[in-house]
Amino acid sequence: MSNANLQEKRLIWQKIDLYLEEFYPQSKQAGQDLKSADLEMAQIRGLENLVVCARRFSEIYNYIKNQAGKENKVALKWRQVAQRLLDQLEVMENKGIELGGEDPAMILETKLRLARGWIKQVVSQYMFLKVAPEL
Amino acid sequence: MAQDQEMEEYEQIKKLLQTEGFILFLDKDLRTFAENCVQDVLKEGKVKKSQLHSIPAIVQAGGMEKLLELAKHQSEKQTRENNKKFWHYLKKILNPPDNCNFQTLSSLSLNFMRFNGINLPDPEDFTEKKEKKAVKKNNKQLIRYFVDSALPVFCEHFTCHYYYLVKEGQ
Repeated sequence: MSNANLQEKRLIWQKIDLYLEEFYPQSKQAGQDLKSADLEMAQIRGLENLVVCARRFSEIYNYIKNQAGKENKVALKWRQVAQRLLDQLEVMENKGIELGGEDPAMILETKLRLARGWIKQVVSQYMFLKVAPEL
Repeated sequence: MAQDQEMEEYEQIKKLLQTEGFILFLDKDLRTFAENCVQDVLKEGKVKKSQLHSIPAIVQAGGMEKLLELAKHQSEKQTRENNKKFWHYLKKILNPPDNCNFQTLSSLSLNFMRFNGINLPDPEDFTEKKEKKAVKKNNKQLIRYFVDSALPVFCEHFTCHYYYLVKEGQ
């Protein structure tokens, strides 16, 4: 459990929200990539669920790497998007470490909150493009 | 007295394994180490992916002991040079020789324990050969106790990073 008090946490959560706002154009690009790679909704939901349920940030990295590393047709699609997703996750992780301070619990929570905010943005863009591809 | 000391050290490590600090260690330090290991392996040449398939199940079933058995067996049995080199490498980082000068899973774990205030006794502080040997053996067991908890995640990081870098046809 984090040692940060509620006020400190709220301050960090605000910073997370602000950062996600700034990052939004890049998240949109990742969503675009997922659409362009022709990944199916099931794949996207799989990623989203994983991010939401992950207890460790690295579970997310490993999921993407595993999907891209398989030897099947779907892996070919994952390979088109994997590097961008991993790069963006790395940005989220570094930001989480920066905002989380010295407290390991706070760092873990912050990283995961950033990842969950990020994946919502990415998936939203993917779904929007799926129904309105001309936009 | 020595037994009490041992129990206390086990308890300290057990507590450490339940902290968020340990999860962060698994998340970042261990992952970075595993990724570096993959790079080291690839410098020597690609290993057939099938060589890695058995690792998670072996670790699940029998931890470090079984994985080392597998590594020893495979390093002797394999005829393909790259596969042999891989298993030798794995043996090296999992069960390093004394006074080795490269990073291993044990040295990474030891540094993390020290960072969290768990300082294992230095065998060099003991003059009696028998005592020195006993301290070395005890330290090895304590580190093994810690590593057994980190090992499944290390293997996950390693295999996922390896599969990602060595894509089909590449």
